[in-house]
Amino acid sequence: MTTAIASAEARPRAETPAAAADKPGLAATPPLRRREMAFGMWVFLTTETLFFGVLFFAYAAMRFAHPAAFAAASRHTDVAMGTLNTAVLLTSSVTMALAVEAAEIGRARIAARLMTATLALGIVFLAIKGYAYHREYTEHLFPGAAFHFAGPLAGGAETFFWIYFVTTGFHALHLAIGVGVVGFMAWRLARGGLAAQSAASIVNAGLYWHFVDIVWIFLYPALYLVSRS
Amino acid sequence: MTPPAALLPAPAHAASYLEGDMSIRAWLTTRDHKRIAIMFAIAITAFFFIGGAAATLIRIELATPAGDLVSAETYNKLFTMHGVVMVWFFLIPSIPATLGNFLVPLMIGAKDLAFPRLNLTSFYLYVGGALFTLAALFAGGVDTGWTFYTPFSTMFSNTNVIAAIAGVFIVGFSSILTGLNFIVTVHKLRAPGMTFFRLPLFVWAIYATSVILVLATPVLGMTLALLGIERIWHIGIFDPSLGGDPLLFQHLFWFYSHPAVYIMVLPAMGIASEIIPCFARSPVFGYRTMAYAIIAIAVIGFLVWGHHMFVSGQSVYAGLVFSILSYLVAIPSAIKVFNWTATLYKGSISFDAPMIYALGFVGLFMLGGMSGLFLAALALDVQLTDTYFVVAHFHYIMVGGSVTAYLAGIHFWWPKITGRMYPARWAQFAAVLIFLGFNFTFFPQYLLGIEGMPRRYHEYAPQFTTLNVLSSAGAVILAMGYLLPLVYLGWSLVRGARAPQNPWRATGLEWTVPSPPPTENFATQPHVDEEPYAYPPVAASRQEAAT
Amino acid sequence: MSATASLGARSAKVKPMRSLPLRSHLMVWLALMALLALTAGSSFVPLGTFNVVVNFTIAAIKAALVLVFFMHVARGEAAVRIAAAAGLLWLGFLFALSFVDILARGH
Repeated sequence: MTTAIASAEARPRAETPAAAADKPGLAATPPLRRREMAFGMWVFLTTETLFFGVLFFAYAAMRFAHPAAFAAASRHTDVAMGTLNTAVLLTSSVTMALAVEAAEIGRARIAARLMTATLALGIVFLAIKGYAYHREYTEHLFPGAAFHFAGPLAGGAETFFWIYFVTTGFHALHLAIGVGVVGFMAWRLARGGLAAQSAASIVNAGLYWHFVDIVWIFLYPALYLVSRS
Repeated sequence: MTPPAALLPAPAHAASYLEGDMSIRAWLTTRDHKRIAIMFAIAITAFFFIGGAAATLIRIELATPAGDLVSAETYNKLFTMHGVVMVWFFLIPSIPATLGNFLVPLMIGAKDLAFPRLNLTSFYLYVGGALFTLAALFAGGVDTGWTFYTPFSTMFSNTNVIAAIAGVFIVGFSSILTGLNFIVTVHKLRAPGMTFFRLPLFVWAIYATSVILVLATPVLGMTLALLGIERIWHIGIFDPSLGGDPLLFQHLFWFYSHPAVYIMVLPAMGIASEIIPCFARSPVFGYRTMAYAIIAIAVIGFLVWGHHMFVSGQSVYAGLVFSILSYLVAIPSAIKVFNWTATLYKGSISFDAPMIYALGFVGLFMLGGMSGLFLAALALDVQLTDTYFVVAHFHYIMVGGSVTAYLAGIHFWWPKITGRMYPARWAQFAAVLIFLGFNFTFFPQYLLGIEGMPRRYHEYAPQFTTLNVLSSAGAVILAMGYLLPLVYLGWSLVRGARAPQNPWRATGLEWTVPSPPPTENFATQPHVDEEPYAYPPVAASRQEAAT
Repeated sequence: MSATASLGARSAKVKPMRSLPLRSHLMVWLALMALLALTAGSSFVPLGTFNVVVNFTIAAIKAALVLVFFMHVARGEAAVRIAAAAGLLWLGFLFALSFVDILARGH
């Protein structure tokens, strides 16, 4: 990785001797380069926070404008599937976190297996989500010409479901990207060990995965639990 | 760790970044921040003249009261094209992606940005997105204005809104990646001894700009995405007929687009802060205050967006809050103007071309800023909203300010970037011409606005004729002023004298490397033990004594 | 190998670990599941406005657990924490000032 070495030359501060013990080829990203990469990922996640923040903002403004309709519409979401999916995603974060730990201590094969588990859970989430979408579509909850919602709150309910589909859609898109990245890294890790797939990149993939998890942690009460009692 | 190659003794003549493989393929796949900066410069220059062509047609149309040159629809498309191209494809990337890209690693003593590949990606996202939008603007056009206000953009406009916003959306990712790259670079790649409070103010400005890019652009991106989805789906949150709120769009749009003004003007301030001390031969007055003022502008700039919405129907209470906050941002801006002025005090000033541009920037920025105070006043703004007063105000900031400073920076660092000197007299002449042409064009528009001429119409009442003719005549001078540098800078590339390492006897690490800089930037790792702006520079005079 | 702990700024002091921190991660997982059960359960109990407060407080706690134990936000550098905080603070700006308008509209 030429760029890593290149920017490692212009070091601002003296490096710890730890760097000297790096075995070539094995998680050989210099520590400062790793910090650059991790910090870069955090800044990226900051932008993602604001990206999703707009969706939460739209949600908040519309819920404030149509409180009763949001309550009624939210009761039409499938809380069981939503809860199950939350559990699936939270669990996938645990396996991903463990995969990162495994990569950090050089256990490439364990890391690859944990990442496979992570992406499997991600696919389970997407499958459940897809099934939920299908059910909502057949129940005429998809906004548009076929939308049907009994009672005077139909307008606000349609807005709720618009936000529901847009936010969960953007979330699912991010998760699908995460599945792709984690899958690709797991494949390289299984084939060539940490020489092929550096631990530093896996750390970043983990940060991204956890972020997508956090978005869902907030989407869950916002969409499924508005008014259940 | 084996010692990196750069720490070993350097060869006597390190090849400059303009030597070596000069094939088009090598350029298009380069990861050298200097070459990427050049590619950005070429691209934004092209977009500047495309946006300028639209502006030219606008000013020709407005030379007479009757709407005789173009139809109202075409006029709407022209000012949309002018706004979209100038804002997103010229001004936003202008200084950060060109001079920032070229200079930040040199100024902090680094070899490159933290993520060189990302830097190249950013360039292609920019070009791809911008060309996409441009195609939409030419093939049929867009008539919403650069602001894409709902519900017009979602429900009524019959033009290529989706394609146009898709390109802007893509260019947004370019902004985000560039900002991210600068932030990590400034944090992680400073040379030993280059503490934050030894950073050149230009680096401070680019850093603050990057923070804005990273925090504001995602909001624009998602807002445009929601707009596009709503336009396709015919349902959404901005449509009042379905219980939506069109003002949400304005809140979200201006949450990006007001800070976007600071994306344009903070780097301009950074350039002025480099040039004025150099040509006044005195240290910048109040270095730390200047740095804090940059950060203050970047942060407070996020809290004032509602002043674009005083007459939109937002609550009067919110209007009051935004009005007060808008006045606050004037304080750090004024600090900067005072400090530049104080830097000049008792300096030995020379009026080389960069200095004339930089002083022009200060004056025009001040005029623009002062008229901003009028517009921040809740009651007065009701009178001035959507008149030519607003048009004049933001052109003073964005063109008089940012573009003039961009040219100042180009003239200041041209010898460093290209290794060539340009004809000094021509450059000074162009600088004066642009300053005069600019005021000639836009000062009449303040008066037109006060008299009540509304913006965005292709015809106007006859009593506005004189001032409009003046403005159009000024635009001719301004256009000549903008074309001149293209000529003499182009000439200098071929015929210009070889530039020495430090022609202006300036401080700063970028002047300690040859002109043009070697591919590796620094043969040996620089160490910084000097405060910034140590004018008159010890290092430079030592160099002169040695040669 | 010593690349182990080079993630955080204070990494040099941390001893390289040889085994996976299974116990601690299991504890966090149990905590997350318990919180999920709590938030799902509580939303079926009529608490009025308090339902929203409970739901989003629990969501914030869950997010904090992920941030601290999986993303190691507390272990890393100050710059990382500033970046994370800036995202939330700026989101706060957007919400706060927009709702100044939305809440006061029509008054």
